[in-house]
Amino acid sequence: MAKLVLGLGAPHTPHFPTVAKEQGKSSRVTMLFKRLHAELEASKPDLILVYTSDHFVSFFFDNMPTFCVGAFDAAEGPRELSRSTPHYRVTGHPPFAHALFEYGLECGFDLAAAEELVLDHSLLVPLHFLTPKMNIPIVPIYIRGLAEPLPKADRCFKLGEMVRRQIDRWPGAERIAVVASGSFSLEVGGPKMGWIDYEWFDFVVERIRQGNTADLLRRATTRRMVSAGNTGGELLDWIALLGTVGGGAATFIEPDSQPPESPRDAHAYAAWRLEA
Amino acid sequence: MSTYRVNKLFYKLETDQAYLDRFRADAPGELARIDLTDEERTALLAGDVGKLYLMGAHPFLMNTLARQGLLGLNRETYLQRVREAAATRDKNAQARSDDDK
Repeated sequence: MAKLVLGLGAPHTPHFPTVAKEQGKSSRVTMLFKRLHAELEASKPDLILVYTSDHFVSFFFDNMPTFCVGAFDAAEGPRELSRSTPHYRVTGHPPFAHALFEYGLECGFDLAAAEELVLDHSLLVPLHFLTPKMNIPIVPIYIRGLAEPLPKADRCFKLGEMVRRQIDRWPGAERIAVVASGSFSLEVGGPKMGWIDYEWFDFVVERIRQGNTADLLRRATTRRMVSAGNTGGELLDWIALLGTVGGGAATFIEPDSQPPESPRDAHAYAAWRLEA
Repeated sequence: MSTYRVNKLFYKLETDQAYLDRFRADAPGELARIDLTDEERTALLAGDVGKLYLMGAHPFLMNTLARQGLLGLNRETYLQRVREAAATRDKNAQARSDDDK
């Protein structure tokens, strides 16, 4: 029987790998990701599922799924030309991905599946820090988070619960970690660029800290999320993670607003230890 | 109004190096190959990202123009134009809503 051993939440700012390299071990980014990396190492996962929202790289408006599971043997990225994120090749886990796809159908989640993908920074930046050797299979679960209309928070939570049931019923012996990649308040390219909605950011962090998922789901309407910035829908990736880990309080959540490396950002780093 | 082709242009500029190189060398020539409305073409050639924002171009995609320094834009002029357009829109919306009262 497979076992869910860890949940992690992390940001994916494209220049973080460069910042970490230039500023060394003392930078906030390095230290916070190191905490998550230590959690991941200790949990010894054989498979990592990642909830992420593609940034118009793997998908475009010609064919953009609301929910999609990556069922590739291997995939590379990032493809963005104006970003400096290091290039990686990751391996997938097609049997688990296809089984999730099929179980979704049984549960009323008609996911898309992609057997070939080019990856974007939102998947690869967290992995750069969490599993730099890229030696653990990855199954991304994409949630449409940047292009309205977005799926509803409650639906994303239930998607996460469905994924948890699939983990529990998977006959393999894998130890599985689940990661959410995203921020709560960030605008890119729009008029609010450089502004952070601290009220929303603090609210989300506190609800995750407390495990008050019901209150978070009630408030996380599309309108509220997007008013915190045009990437605000990335909260849906964290909400799916909450569904998978059971909605309980995080073991820790470390908000990092106005980090000196990147003063116009606000991010959070969190872990849920799921083994006694 | 669909800004699909405008967004697709930004998508290609961010993900296709050969296309980016061609566009950098001859933006008007490349724009002539795309089935755009006159309004879209004019706004693109002028680097009028404020207008494009109001027309519905996705800002996340459009921001590649600022990062790559295309159509005469840089990060400062890009943000200034988008902000001015949004502020004017909000001001007009406020004036209309005041009129309705």
